[in-house]
Amino acid sequence: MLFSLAWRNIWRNKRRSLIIISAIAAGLLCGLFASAIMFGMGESLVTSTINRDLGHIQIHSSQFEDEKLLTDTIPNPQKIVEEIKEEKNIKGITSRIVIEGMGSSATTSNGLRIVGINPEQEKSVTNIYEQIVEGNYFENARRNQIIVGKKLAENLGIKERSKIVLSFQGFDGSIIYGAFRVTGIYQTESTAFDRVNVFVREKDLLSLLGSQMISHEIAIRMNSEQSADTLYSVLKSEFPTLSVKSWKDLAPELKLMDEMIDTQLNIFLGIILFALLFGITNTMLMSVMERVREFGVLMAIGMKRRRVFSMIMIETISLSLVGAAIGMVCASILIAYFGSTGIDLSTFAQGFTAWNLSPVLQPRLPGTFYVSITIMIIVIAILSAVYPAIKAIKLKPANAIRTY
Amino acid sequence: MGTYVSLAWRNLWRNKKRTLIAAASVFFAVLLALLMRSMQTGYYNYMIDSSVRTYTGYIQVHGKDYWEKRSLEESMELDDQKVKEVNEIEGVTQTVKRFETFALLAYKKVTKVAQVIGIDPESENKLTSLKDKLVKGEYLKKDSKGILLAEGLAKLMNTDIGDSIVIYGQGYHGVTAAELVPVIGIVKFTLPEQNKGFSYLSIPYAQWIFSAPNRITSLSIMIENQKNLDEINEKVKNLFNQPTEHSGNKYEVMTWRELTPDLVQAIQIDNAQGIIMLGILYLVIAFGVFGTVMMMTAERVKEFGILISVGMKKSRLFLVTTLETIFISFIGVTIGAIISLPIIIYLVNNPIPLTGEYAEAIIAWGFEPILPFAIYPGMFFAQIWTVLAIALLSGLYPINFIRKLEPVEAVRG
Repeated sequence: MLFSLAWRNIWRNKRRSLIIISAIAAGLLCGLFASAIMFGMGESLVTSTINRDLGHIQIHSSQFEDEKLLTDTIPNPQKIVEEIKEEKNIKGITSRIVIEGMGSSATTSNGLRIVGINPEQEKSVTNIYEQIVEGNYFENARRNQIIVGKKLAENLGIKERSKIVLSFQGFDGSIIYGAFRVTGIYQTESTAFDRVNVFVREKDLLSLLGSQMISHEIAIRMNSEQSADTLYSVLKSEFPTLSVKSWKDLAPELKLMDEMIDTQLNIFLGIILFALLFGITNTMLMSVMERVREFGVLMAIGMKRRRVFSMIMIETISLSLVGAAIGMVCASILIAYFGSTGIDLSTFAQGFTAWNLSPVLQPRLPGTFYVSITIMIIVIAILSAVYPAIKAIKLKPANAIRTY
Repeated sequence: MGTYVSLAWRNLWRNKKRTLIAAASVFFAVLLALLMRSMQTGYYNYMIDSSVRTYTGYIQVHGKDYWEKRSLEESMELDDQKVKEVNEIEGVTQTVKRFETFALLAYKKVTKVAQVIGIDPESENKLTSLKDKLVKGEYLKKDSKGILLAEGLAKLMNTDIGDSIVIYGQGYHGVTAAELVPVIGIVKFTLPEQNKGFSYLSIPYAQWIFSAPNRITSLSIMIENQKNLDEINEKVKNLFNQPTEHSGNKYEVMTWRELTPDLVQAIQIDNAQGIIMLGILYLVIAFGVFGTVMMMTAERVKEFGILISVGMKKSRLFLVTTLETIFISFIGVTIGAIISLPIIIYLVNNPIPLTGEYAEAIIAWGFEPILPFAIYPGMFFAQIWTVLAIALLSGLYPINFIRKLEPVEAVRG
């Protein structure tokens, strides 16, 4: 009863109701779409970092992280890899040699992170092989091939097939030089990554070092985020002497950025809703003031003040929810559309890659967001209705009836 | 005109609460917008400032192609006369010579890649306060034969003052550079990138180690006010385009915008994001103002009818209703600006220090954990124009309404 009364009241002044409904709808549409873009950015930042080099879990020797020395190797890496392979939900696992060194071209040199990989295994963990823009990914079997980032190639002034000399310290402390030929150039979302990381075959490094199989880093890729958490705790107890870390520990700033974006979005939407509060209050205030006589009559014929109060509340909530529903439906359609096609901002590409972002934005918003928005809008509606509703029930029926 | 103003002003207060609520919504938006713009601009200025101080200078002179190739082959000879001439350009506060290259630093069994920077100790200190960052040992002198290591780097190499480390690298014309150098001081940086990878030599010593006598890689120029950037840049360019007799070197002059396009675009993106958010906020506020104006119009049909019947020109009514909308919005803008001004001035002088997890993350991204603010007249004007636009657009509604009004019917309404 009360509800249908409230519903009809909304449509008595169509234009006024439509104004506030469009305000809510437009505010939410823009707000949600902007949020989806930011959320999508945050998510692509995380997934691209995981795909590019981290994997979900990494294992190092316990000193490696601080010292990054050649001697900080993982003992018995093959055995560990075989053991971990037995676990469930593993998409890929790979062992790497990581050496800090220098790369020199004919003209100049640069500090590098030299990563010795097993090309086939690496494919199952990271997607560098998909990011080759020139040349190929270790396609032929020749010795001493190297894959470098595009940014590094620019800095060193080298091209595909150029020669580059890597220098780094060997086990006995002497400096080892090795000439490599560039067979591939990759480009990821992150220029910082591209500038320092070069990939060579593990066995080429081992022969330069004159060493048996060694490993500094074991990276694991899981089928899903959840299974990564489970395996993480399993491995942590299984290898107490090694340092086992999830991507969240490896890139804490990334995890935090993810959280920061979440907070930021909530604040942003909160501000928009707060701005709507003024509009909704004003609309309801006007609606109540126009109907002073009507409220007087209702109360005079015995409608309880509590019910008048609830009626105004219901009016406000339904009004807001209509706007919210329109806004959310439009937003979700837009988000779904652009989420699948992507928004290409390549003209700004340099700035995006400085922040490790892909220039193609894919807006996305998790379903929970819509739920929390709906709750927030109901709260806002209730807050805006309080003042007009109190004004209505404070009316004295005897006077109100005489107001025209 | 005065009559219309006071008429409009009185009309506003016929329903006090409604006017105040609408004005409050504008006030809220303006306050928020000003704080947000202040914070964003403050942060951009800070990023630019720290980037130009540590890395590039507002304007940089270097050998042709040096910026692209970053090799000693593109280093340059620069005589003191030229440097003096640059310093004499109006608006230039300081110039700093640097000799930068990459090298391997080795101590016992540990080798690290580091950026080796040859500096003029005094002018470098004036620019980056390097001396204050010294935690151990002593600072460089003009031609010290020793190296300053960043604290993190020294720790990684397990070395300390008094030890001698080996510098390996590629010198000028591809000559191998290798030299045993004593560590004379340790400097500590906040940013990990610097703290784990920077080392400093005096310029003459660096030139000797890398077989590049009298050569430097860059001359960074600091200026007093960014507004004069282009003008000063032109003057510096003119200075270096004149062919010099004694050196066949070609020079290149670039501003920080050309030197660090990544930074420029990162700022542009963030700025655009901020403006879009404020745009959405103002959109919502505009609906609120529009709604209020609409109600004010709707409830006065009869009044308008009478006014027109007794001979008031419609054009004058337009003026009154437009003034009303402008007043409502400008109450909000004025109060918003007045209240935010002291807050912003306070924040400009007292940047908010960040702590905890966020601070660490910001350090990891390469910035110092503070939230600086900035103030400039433009940000107030931007809000005023925006609100004025909202007011004028909303003001169209009553104008259109009155234009269509038939006095005969309206009077009976």
